[in-house]
Amino acid sequence: MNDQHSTHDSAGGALERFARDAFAEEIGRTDAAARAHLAASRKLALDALSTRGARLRSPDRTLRGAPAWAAAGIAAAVVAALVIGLQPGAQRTASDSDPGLVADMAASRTRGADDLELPAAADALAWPTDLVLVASDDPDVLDVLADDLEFYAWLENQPELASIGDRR
Amino acid sequence: MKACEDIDGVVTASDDAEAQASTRLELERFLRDVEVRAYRIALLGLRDRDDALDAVQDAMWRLVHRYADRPRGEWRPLFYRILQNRVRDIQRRRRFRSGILAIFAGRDAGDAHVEDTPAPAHVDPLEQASAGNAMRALEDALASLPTRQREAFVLRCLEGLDTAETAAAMGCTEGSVKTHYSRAVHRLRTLLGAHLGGD
Repeated sequence: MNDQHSTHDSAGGALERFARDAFAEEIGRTDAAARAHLAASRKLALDALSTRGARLRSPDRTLRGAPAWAAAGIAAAVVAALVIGLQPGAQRTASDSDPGLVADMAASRTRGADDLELPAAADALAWPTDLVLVASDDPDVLDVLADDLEFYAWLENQPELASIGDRR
Repeated sequence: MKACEDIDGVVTASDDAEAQASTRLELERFLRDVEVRAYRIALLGLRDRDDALDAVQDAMWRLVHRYADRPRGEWRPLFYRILQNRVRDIQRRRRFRSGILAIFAGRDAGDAHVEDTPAPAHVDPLEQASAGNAMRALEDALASLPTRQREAFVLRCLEGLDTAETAAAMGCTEGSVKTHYSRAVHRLRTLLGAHLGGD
């Protein structure tokens, strides 16, 4: 048992040495453009230190960011409508006079409201990947999304960005 | 009394400025120290140069903006926690996009097998040409690990965080870190056996 343990330990040690050596070599290979980008990112972040606070939540920035997000929302709604519209069976539910729909509604009435809520909630998620987002147990999901809004609003107003983009 | 208050006010403002300058200096030193390794770690998870640079930039900005006032000893686990979250966030966006692409390509979204794997490596061709086989093998092996095992191994072994720091960075208990790390080592040993000199 001890022998087996020590074999495992030495193998684990060899693996760690191998990984650290390979990683150290890889760090040495980091190209100048990436290093320059990182340095510029560092400078941008440190500049935010002296001006952080009220700047990021000023009303004009929020308003300036709104049209872009409104456009994104409209685009998402159009895509969702297209996806739902293209799904087989979508036409059947579009017609009020469809006997199938009437039968479904009658059946729903007899089943009660609880049965109606489940498919409605599932339909609201346009893609299976949405389920991953919604069902994620990561508490930082909303935090990350909020940070995105805040970060990109701030980023829009950084003149240094143009030079970073050119450098890539 | 008024004069005293004014003098106190001046002294306080001066102290604040000094404290901010000191914090800035320490933050700069910290970021300079971790930035290249952080970029490489992000690259291991994302395998896309631009995404990795974006993730590190976001992490730097958020650390400075949100956590500059925290004790210096907390910066490293905090920074890597932010970075891991950004990496996961980018991976989620990729999953979302691959889901949309799968729908418009007429396939079942569940067929998008790229969902849980990093994007194909997209690095500088010169860099790629000179890169060693060892790192390529390590990257491929790490890419095959579950996310939490990969994070535990990268943070513990490559970045050198201790168990407590890794737990803080991963947002889990130290026991979980040990479990993830042990499983990662076991799996990597199997995958990289040929590169480990007879082990």
